[in-house]
This record gives sequence, structure tokens and C-alpha cells, in this order.
Amino acid sequence: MPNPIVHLSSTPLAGAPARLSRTLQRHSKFDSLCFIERDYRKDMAGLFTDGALVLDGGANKDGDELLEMAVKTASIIHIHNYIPPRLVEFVRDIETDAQFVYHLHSPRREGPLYVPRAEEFDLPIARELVVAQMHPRFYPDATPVPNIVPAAKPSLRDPYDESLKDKVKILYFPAQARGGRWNGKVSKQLTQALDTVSAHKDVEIVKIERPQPSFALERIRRTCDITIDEIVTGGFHQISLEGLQAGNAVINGADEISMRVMMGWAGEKPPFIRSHPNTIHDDLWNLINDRELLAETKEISADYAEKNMQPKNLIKLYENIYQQIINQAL
Amino acid sequence: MRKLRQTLIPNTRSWDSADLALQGTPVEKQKLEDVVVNPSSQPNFGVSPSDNALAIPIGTIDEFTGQDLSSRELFHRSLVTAEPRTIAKVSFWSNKLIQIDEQKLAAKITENSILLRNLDEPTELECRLYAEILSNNKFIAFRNRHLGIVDLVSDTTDMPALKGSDDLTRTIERFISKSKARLLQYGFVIAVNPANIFPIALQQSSYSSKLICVYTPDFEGSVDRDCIEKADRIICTAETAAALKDFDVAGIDIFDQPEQMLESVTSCIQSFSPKQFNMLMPVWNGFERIENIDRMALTARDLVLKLKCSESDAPSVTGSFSEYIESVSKECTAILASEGLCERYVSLIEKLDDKATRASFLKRALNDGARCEFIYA
Repeated sequence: MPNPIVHLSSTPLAGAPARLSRTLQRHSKFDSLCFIERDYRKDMAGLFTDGALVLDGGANKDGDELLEMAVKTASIIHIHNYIPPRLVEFVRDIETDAQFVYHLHSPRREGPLYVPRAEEFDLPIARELVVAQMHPRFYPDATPVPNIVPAAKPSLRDPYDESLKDKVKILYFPAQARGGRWNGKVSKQLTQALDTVSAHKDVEIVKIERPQPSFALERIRRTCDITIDEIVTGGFHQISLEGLQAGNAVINGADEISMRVMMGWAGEKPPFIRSHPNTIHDDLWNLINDRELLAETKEISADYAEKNMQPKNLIKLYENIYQQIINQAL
Repeated sequence: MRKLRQTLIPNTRSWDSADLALQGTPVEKQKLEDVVVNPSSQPNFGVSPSDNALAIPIGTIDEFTGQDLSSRELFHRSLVTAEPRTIAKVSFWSNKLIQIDEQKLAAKITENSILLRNLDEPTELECRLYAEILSNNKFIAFRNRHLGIVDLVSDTTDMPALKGSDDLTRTIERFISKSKARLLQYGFVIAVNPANIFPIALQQSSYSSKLICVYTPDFEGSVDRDCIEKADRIICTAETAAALKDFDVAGIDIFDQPEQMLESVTSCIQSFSPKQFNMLMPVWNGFERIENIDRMALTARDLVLKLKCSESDAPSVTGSFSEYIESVSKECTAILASEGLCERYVSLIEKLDDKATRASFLKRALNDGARCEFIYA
């Protein structure tokens, strides 16, 4: 087995580094460890750190020791988004033959990143990666890689089941309140459209009062019919991928460039219902009023995820990149 | 590149004390030079064409010595007087946190500007432009409730917080989060003769602001390459513009005389104003009738590319995004862009017959947030 991959991140980044690390452990030849400098606070604490070690800014001495050992023997040190100066200095002071990978998860000109950070680390970055959703347009020279979303499980709502035909369940949960050109998830027209359809006796808007761990959200999503991402930016988010995995009809506002980015790693055009503030009202009603269309769309989503989004297949993209870097360093 | 459309006519008149109070120079006798601008066809930001006479005080008489004062002297004197619109004083090389003070501003961000004032030996014309902007209460984006001043000096040298020379990240990190939120209220950053990356740090800390860089004819310092490439508009003389011909500059406005600098800046801000319909326009080929174009316009797409391949044969993003844009450029037979984009990338759009420029334009517009659709063969 090659030496381990060490993932470093300042925050849990909605679970992306920890999930990638876990998937590498399960489905690749690489061992993998994930270290996070600090967890989210308040009601987000502990939700996205499963499978990662939280260093608490150096307060977790055992964690720092484990990190030191891991960095010494690592084949790849994979830095996600940015790491604080403490961690940069910590890694720089350790003698290692590891190669460095820098992975961008956030858009430019808004938090948390604003600008790419590779230069400030002053580390020999062998390859830059970027989340393959709307992000490659911001970092045109980086290699796009998918966010890994847990494998598809069947929907808990069979739309052909007569007993469940009474209501259409819509999940709209903009968990991250951060605004911005690309981080913004709320639009007045979408809120109005949801208000209108929720008054209908055949519609239930599923509300989640506070952030939940991803396994709980996945379970809730599997009891729903429609997942709404956002329709304002031209991109799509992890919610859209989770919606496909849960066999939901997925509504977002992806532009053709975002679609072509996903085709690049998934192989086929994703079956998103691409909407816009001017069309969201009609797009929702089409699905609510035509149950056959809704059932068919859900089935297409589940089939697409099953065929194109299996973590055990997607992880090969990362494996190949790591192996290329290791070979080049030899 | 485009030149000013207006004709500038020098004029003379005297000023009353209310006019002068705006600049904070309490002098009695003034030698003044006004500039009368022809009515513009651009949206007027609340200024009626008859109000467009911009009065600019240039050169005044010292009240004690009776001597002419240069713009530079006026500028230094104006610094002594507290300017209520100053929202931050920044030392570029320091690592201290930067706080942008709260300012009561107009609701529309496209009517609010930041004037970045360089206090390190500004040139004579630089001082003059600062004075012209600060004394102008006719153009809406320069009025009290619309203009914030950030004063910049480069005097102290602390060690950077991190090893390496990435001043951009260091500077962005210095803005406290409240400051970043406040920067979102400004639609424009105006930087005159920028010599370092601070204007870019202001621009990159806010997804809503556009960077306007003005180079005065008497500027002799070295031009910051990043400022040229990242600026949303460069305002300069034809001579400077010629020196920038190898850069992929989004837009250049040229002025002939220093008297035209202020008007170039106001015209530039007007050109970036929100478009009522923001219609899709052919910018490279694309003059033929296109099916479903009305629906595309309704979905607020900023760019539409017509490709010569079918949807199934069209390239996907399998390598880097740069490689993808190269592939798409090869397949592209026509480009339509929204009115907003046409204004924003005016200099690139003029050169779209060149394949490399087409790729640069697409990369730049998408990087800046344009939403794009394709029409497949």
C-alpha cells in the first residue's frame, strides 16, 4: 500500500474533505487521514467532522502528534481551500518527501476564500484541483474533481404507490446563510413560488428547523419528491448531487457551462430541471400537477446517480491524479 | 478602446462659499476653470442634461501670500481639514487590521463609489482629479451620501504575517469581516495611478464592485501589471493605451487633455449603470434570426454561444477549464452578450475576430460571473 494521503483543512467545508478521505480508505489503494484545524461553532458543531480529527488550533496535542507522524510518512498532502498560518508553519517544519496538492472549494471575491491561497503557503504545490461544479470558471488552470456524495439509496417514497400519491413533498433547506454572487441561495421569486404552492392541499414543504448531520438529511431527502437547490447564480451545489442520489427531482439554475462541467466527470448530462426566478413558479406546478412526470423524473435521477455518481467509481479520478503526481516525483 | 464622445469647452466663472466648502479650502478669491460638458446620451444618474455643467476649481490664490496654489498644495491642505467621507486610512505595508467605517449610503450600489486616495507623493494631475471628484456634487456617485474615501500610504514596513510575497491575500485578510460586508455597498473603486495591489484587494474583497484605474498624463511610476489585467476599466491617454496593447484589458477609455479626466470617470460609471432590458446583442457574428432567443433573454443569461457542433458532440470539461474554453472557442460560430457585458468588456469585444481574444473574453466574462447558454447545431 502506498504511503498515506493527508488531508488538511481549516474548517469541515461541509464534510467534503472528510468524505473524500473516508471514500479513499474504503474504495482505493490509498490509506487516508483527514485533519481539520477547527470545527464549526454552535448548532453546526460536530455535524461534518465524522471521520476527521479536529486539531482545535493546536489545543489537541495528541492530534498534532498524529499529524506530525502522518506528514512525515505521507505520499501526498492534500490542502483543502486554505489552512491557517499555524498549520502552514507546522507542516513546513516537518521533514517529508510528500507532494502537495491544493484543492479549491469556494468561489472568488466572496467568503471564505476571496482569492486562491496557494502562493501564501509557500509550499511546492504539485497540482491544483477545483470542485467540479460552477467553480472551474474561477480557477481555469486547476483540474476539476467531483465532490463525493454518499452512494445512492432507494427513495423511501415510491411515487407509484397509491398510498403516497396524496402529497408532493418538497425539500428546500438553504443551510448556509452566507450571501454572495455564487454563495447566495435565496431569491424572492422562489420564496413566493413556494408560498403559493404550499397553500395547495397536495403539497408539503418539508422544513428543517436546524442543521442536521448529513446521514439525517439524506434520510429526510429520501422521503421527499423534489429537492430545490438555488436558481439565481448559474451554478449548482452539493444539495443537487444529494438530491439525485436520493432519487429526487432536482431543481436548480445551472447554466450550460455548469452542466458541461458535471458531464466532464459524470459522463452524461445531469437530469436537473433547470429553472430561473422567472420560470420557477411554472416549473414547480408542472411537477406537482403531473404526477407521471414527477415519477419519471425521480426515476431518471436515481438511475443517473446509480450509473454515474457511485463514490467507488468517482474516487478513481483522485487515485489517478495522486498516482500521476507520485510517479512524476520518482 | 474608445474615446470620449463629448466635446469639452473651457469656461470661467466665480464660485460662492458653498461650493468651496465642499473642498475644505476657505479662500475668498478664486481663479476658476469650469468645464461644460455636452449632454450625454448615457443614463444620467439623476443629473439632468442642463445640470451637466461640472464646475471644477483648479488653482486657487493663497489668502495670505496672494500666490497661485498648485493642485498638489491644495491637496495637502485639504488633508488637514477633516473629510467626513473618509472611511479608512490604510498603511499598505502594515499588518494591522483594516476597518472600513460605516457610511450612510444610497441603496443602489451602482450609485456608490470608493475613491482610493494615494497620499504618497501624488502627481499634480492626480491631486487635481481628487479635488475635482471631491468637489463635485452634481454627479450622483460623487455626492456626500455616495462617495467614501480610503486614504492609502506606504510608509511602514512590518514583516508579512506569512512567509512568501502574496500581498494580495495578506491585504484581503486585513479587512475585518464587518469591513468586507461594508465594501459590498460600493459599486465602484476609483484608483488613480495605482502603484500596488491595494485596489485589487478592494475589488476582490467584494463581488459587487468594479475597479476603475485612472492613469494621469504626468504619472511616471511603474504600472502594476495585475491592476491593468484585473481592472474593469482603464482611463488613460492614447499614449498609455498604446503601451497596453499587449494586455487583455477589459475596457479602455481614452482622454486627450487632463481637463477630460473627470468626465471620463463619470462617463465610465454611467456606462456601467444597470440596463433596463439588458438585451442580448450580437458581438461576434450572430446577426441572423435565432430560435428561442426570447426565452433565453428571459432567463437572464449574460452570454449565448452558437456552436457548429451538435449537443452530443460538444466538448465537456474533462481537463482544465482553460483547455475547455479553447475547445469551445474552436466550435463557436457566433457570440451574443448582454448589454451589460458589451459595456464591461468593450475593448475585448472589439477584437473578437482574433481567436485568442475570443477565448480570453469568454474566460474573463465567465470568471467575473457571466451565465452562459449554448445554441447547438
